[in-house]
Amino acid sequence: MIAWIWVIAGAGFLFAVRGRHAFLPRESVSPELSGVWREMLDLFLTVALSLTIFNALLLWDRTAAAVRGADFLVLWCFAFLAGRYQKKDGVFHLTAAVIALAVLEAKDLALQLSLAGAVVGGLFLFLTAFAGLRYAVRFSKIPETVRGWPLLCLLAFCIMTILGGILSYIF
Amino acid sequence: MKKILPAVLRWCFLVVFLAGMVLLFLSARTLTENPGVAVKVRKVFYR
Amino acid sequence: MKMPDSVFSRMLLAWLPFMAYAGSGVSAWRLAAAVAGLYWLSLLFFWPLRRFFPEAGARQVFPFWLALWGQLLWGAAGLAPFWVLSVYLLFPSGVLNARKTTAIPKKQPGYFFGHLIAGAGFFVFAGALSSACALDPARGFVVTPAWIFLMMFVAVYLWNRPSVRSPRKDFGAAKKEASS
Repeated sequence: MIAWIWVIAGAGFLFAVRGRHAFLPRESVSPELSGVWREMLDLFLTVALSLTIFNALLLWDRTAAAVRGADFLVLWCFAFLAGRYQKKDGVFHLTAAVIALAVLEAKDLALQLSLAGAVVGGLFLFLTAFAGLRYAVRFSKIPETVRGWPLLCLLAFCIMTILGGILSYIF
Repeated sequence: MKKILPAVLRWCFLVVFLAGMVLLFLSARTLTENPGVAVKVRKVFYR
Repeated sequence: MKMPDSVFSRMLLAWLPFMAYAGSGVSAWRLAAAVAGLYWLSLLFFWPLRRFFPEAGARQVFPFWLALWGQLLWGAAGLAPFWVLSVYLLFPSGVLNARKTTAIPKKQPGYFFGHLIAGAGFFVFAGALSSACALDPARGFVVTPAWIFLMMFVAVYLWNRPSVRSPRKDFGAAKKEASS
């Protein structure tokens, strides 16, 4: 049983810290939410593609046994190919592959896609809040000792205090 | 010819490396398919 | 985009996938040992062989190597492969670039040893942070992701205080990168 709120918190913080230059260029005058939206849409489509092809291969008797025995590897291959086509890096397709594998606990493809959509939706909420708060904090006087990693952890704490409660109703 | 050969050798090395990785993986998987080994490996990680 | 390459940044990012194992009964110390073990194995394989790959070949082979290991332990022990993401995040990106590292041959022996030590450092860091996060401040207290981020804030703030660390530590580079 996967603790989805923890997955969203961890993956959200990872994407927020890793992708900050893509999401919030230094010279931007507003938080770049379109970057967050594009990244999360790409993630959901990659996960959905991997799951769909995986489930299709399970329907074919010749490949079903082999695919079931190497499920993570198969999902990673499709996530890698889709990620390479989109010029994404290793973290993106590894994250897509592990989310796709974790989502497989739902038996039906429709349920799997819904669960994947909910997880990526949670990530989107986290990243949007993070980008907005980081942008707002730029105009505040933050002590030097708190700048950098401590500030990022504090922002994540604030977001998960509220988002954790909301997500616990869904997951 | 000089420039092409190192590239060809590098690609051959890549193929051999990938094949070696897959073979090692299949051998390790055959080993862990033994139920006794699987239980022991699971006990390593789970409290 | 270029990932932060300082050791502390890599260790902190590499700990994040451990959050996915909350409540699953997985031992954090043993998981950290597995991550450090695969990190060292990857270093021992890819460090000497990276020159023989085609251009950017090593960078594509490395995730496949991790995926194989993830599948192996997922099939054998039912261990969800979030931990391979830890290894990927911990692995220094510069090691897989054969062309660039050959320009500094004198620094390579110490460089390699430094990377090895980073694995041991991660084992201690990840195990200690996971144990600290598992401590209940009060009976019946439910550990949540928010609590974990607060613990991370305290740990990183204590590390970041000028009286604790020397100015030469590479965490300053991560601080400059991360400051907005």
